[in-house]
Order: sequence, then structure tokens, then C-alpha cells
Amino acid sequence: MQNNLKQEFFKFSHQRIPIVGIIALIILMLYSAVSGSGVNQALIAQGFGAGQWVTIIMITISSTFVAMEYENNTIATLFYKSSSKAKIYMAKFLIIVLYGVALLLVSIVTTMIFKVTFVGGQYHWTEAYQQSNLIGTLFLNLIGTFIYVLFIVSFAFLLITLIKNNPAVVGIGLAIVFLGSPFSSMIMSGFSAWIPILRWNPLNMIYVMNQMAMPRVFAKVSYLSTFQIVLGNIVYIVGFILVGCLLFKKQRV
Amino acid sequence: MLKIDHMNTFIGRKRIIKDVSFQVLPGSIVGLIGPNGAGKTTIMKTILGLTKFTGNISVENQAVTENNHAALTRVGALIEHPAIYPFLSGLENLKLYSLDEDDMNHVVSLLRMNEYINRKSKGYSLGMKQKLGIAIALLNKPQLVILDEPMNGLDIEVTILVRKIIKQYAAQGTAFLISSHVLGELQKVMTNVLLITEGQIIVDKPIDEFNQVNHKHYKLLTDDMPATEQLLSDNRISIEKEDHYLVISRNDSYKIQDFLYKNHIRLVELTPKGMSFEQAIVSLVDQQRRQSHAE
Repeated sequence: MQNNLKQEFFKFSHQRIPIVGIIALIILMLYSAVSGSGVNQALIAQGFGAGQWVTIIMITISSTFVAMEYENNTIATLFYKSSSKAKIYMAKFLIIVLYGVALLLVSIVTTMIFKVTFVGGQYHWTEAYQQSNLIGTLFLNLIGTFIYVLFIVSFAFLLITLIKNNPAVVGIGLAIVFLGSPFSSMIMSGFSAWIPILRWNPLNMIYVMNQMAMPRVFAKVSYLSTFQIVLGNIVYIVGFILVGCLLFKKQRV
Repeated sequence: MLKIDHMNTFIGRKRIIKDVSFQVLPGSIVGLIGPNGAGKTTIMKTILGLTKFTGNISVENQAVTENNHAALTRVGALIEHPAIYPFLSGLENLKLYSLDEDDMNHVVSLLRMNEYINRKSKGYSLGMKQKLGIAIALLNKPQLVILDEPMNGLDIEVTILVRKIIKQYAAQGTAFLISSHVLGELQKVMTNVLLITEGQIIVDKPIDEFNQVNHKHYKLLTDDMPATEQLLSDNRISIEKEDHYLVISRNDSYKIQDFLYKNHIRLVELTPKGMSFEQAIVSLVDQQRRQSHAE
């Protein structure tokens, strides 16, 4: 496993895409800062939209990181040189998750810089905001984002293993991020009698990003308690990883 | 080294390789030959544990299965296209798999890649990529090297170089299993012929034995053909005339050379008469096809 991790890290770190991802995140956060009606507490607590932007970047990068093995015909060498396909899959997954953590750290630093740049000392990190303070809300939002990043990366890995088409996986991933939650809410309001079951649908899991910081508000939207939505995400993550790993093991080249 | 026993390979439910058994011994260079779709690449992939199969595959008495590749630690391979990450330099591609830096540098020098090895491989020509693919296969002093169409995209100079390197490694005990459509090239290096059609092996022989079976007659030319003809008739050696040559049996060739020497007749030419290697292969494949269609 150590060797697989080393190899995957070597490949990942020698690509341009991780740097492009970081630059894209900063640009998109800047776009959030300048495009709205000014920088307020809500925008700072959301890390200038970092949750949404990190998720989008992670879908693209995780899918590309697996797809490149098929595109470059390196998958056969990767398979025969490794003692286990599951180890390859997990090594790739861990490297991408680590990159997700790095993106979240970049988003924290960028949020702090943007706050000073755009509003100076107008809002204090320790002032009360939502159910915590400004910095606490920011961290809770980013913890929620981290959980959803795990969800979306495990899903993207499963999907790319299944259909091996990078643009299709990125497209599906983006559709889930942008349209998943409204679609989920629409279904639940349309079939209210089925809410006890429908609230566990995978599209509803995206609310974890906001519900960590604003549990009261978002519990009414997701119909799940914070504990339930975190648990739901964990079950989906484990399920996606297990199925993805199984499919990857059954891959023939 | 490599031992294959009653191997059957399936793609979906279809059996592609049918009850194949053969061995590749240390230092041997086995040429895996066959028409398109015969199953050459599938055999190679199966050995590397990349496809579903039944039967036994072992490398150095260690079994290879679809999920256990421990026996492949010292096996190098180039299957279909070179497995190269375009965003890495040639050297970085090698580093990814190399366990010994000195050996890696040796392989780079051997294949004369020093000039461009630090450049990003996405800018490599087809031949450069192919060389890098071969270099990856030769890393870590392999016991067995599997090469699928290794001469693809290589110019004559590099082809000769690769041929020389294959022979060098084989002389040190590395076994090779090589497939190629360029039979002439393969003929120059291989020690054994493995001919496959429709997923079945129809010839598994050392190249000398294959050539011997193929060359049952010799063409004889001397400085005095009438005297030679008379001499061979007198000694009841069967001959046939063909153009200005006499055609003799391979079994009589030593005896005839002895007679010529004793009768002061100078031997000008004694060459095998028969089909070329390519013709022999094509003929065997045709024969097999006719047989299987008749069945």
C-alpha cells in the first residue's frame, strides 16, 4: 500500500491539474467576493463560496485522476505491477482526499486574506454569528464540505470506474452539485407522504455542507437531523467505496 | 521460468484461448506468432493476470492468478501500446517503476535515450515512446520480459539495437516472450517458435527444428555438374534437376560433400530449398484453418 501511495502521489504531484485547481479555487472565491452585493458575514462564514467551489473542483480532479490511466493505457501496467487492484483504488482515493484537505486549507487562508482585503476589521472572527461565532461557523461549514467532498469523490470514483468517460462523469457530478438539492427538495415536497424514506436519497446529502453550521435552518430543508445527515453521508461514502472497489477489481484491460 | 498448463481465457462467456500449454525457459526468446485475432495479446495479458482464465500459470514455480501478482515482481512487459504518463519526463516514467537507480540509468544508456530522457514524454515521437515502453519492461533485471509488437514505430537502426539488447539480456538468462507481425525481425532473434491460430497453439518448437522440418531438401551447385550428376547416380543417391541445380535430400548432404571432396569436385553452393519462414508460417496457418473448417 505504501508503494501504491508513493506512486500515486508522484503522479499526482507531477501534474499541472493540482495547481490549476488551487488557482481556480482562489479565482472563484474572488468572483464570489466581487460579484454579489458586497462582502458580509454570511459570505465570510461560507468561505466566499468555498464549499461549492471545492466540490466542483474535486469532481473534475478525481474523475480525471482515474480516467488518465485508461486514456494513457497505463492501467494494464498499473494492474500487473501491483499486488492488488483494491490497493491502487484506495491509494488514488486517499491522495485525492488529501488534496481535498489541502484545498480546504487554501480556502481558509484565502478567506482570511479576502476578509482583511475587502472589509478590513469590520467583522471580528469571534463575534456571534448563527449558533456559534464567525470563525466557528466558517470551520463548521468547511467540515460539512469535507464530508461532502468524501461523498462526491467516492461517487466520482465509482462512476468513472463504471463508465470510463471523464466528461460524462464531470457532467453528472456538476449536475448533482447544482441541481441535486433543488431536485431532491422538489421530490420531497411532491411526495410528502414518502419523506421518511425520500429524505435518505443521495441528492439530499449535499445539505451536510450547510447543516453543520446552521442545523436548525437546514434540518427543516433536509428533513434529517445533523447526526442523521452525517451518518447518511458516511453510509453512502462507505457504500460507494466498496462498490467502486469491487468494480475496479473486476476491471479487465 | 514461465509455465502455462491447460490455460483457457475467457472474454465474457466466449473462450478465446483454448487449452494452451507451453513453457518459456530461462535465456530463451520465444516468438509468439499468429494472424490478427489469433489470441497473441490475450495470451500475454493472461500471463500478466489481467484476464479471467482457467488452468495454471506459474513464474519461477509461483502461481499467477487474477488477484495475486506476487509472481510478477520480476516480469517486465510492453502490451499493445507503451504505458506512459505524458505529463512525466521519460526518466520520471522510469522512476515510477524502478527499484534500482543504477539499473535504470543502465537501461537508459543501453537504449541510447540520454539525450531526451529528461524531456516531457508527451513530446516524444512514436519511436521514442516505444523505446521508453521497452525500457520500462527491461527495468529491475527482469527474469521474464513480455513484448507485444516491440518493433512498432522503430527505425532500422533502433530495431537492430533492440534486437541486440534482447540477445544480451537473454544471454544473461532473461526469458523473452515476443509477438510481432514482422516475422523477419522475429526470426533474427527467436530461439523458439510458438505459432497460434484461433486460440490454439499449432507449433511449439525450437527455431532450428522448425527450419529443419521446413528445409527437407538442399540445392547443390558444383564446378562440374555433369560429373557430379554421374557420381551421385553411381552411388544411388536420389537427385532431381531444377534449373542448373541438383536437388538433394538433406539427409544425404554430408555424404555428398564427402564424395565431392574425394572426387576433387569443388562445391560452389549448398543452400536449403524450401519455403521461406514467412511462407511456412502462412502455409501452416492456412492448413490449420482448412482443418478446423472441415471439422
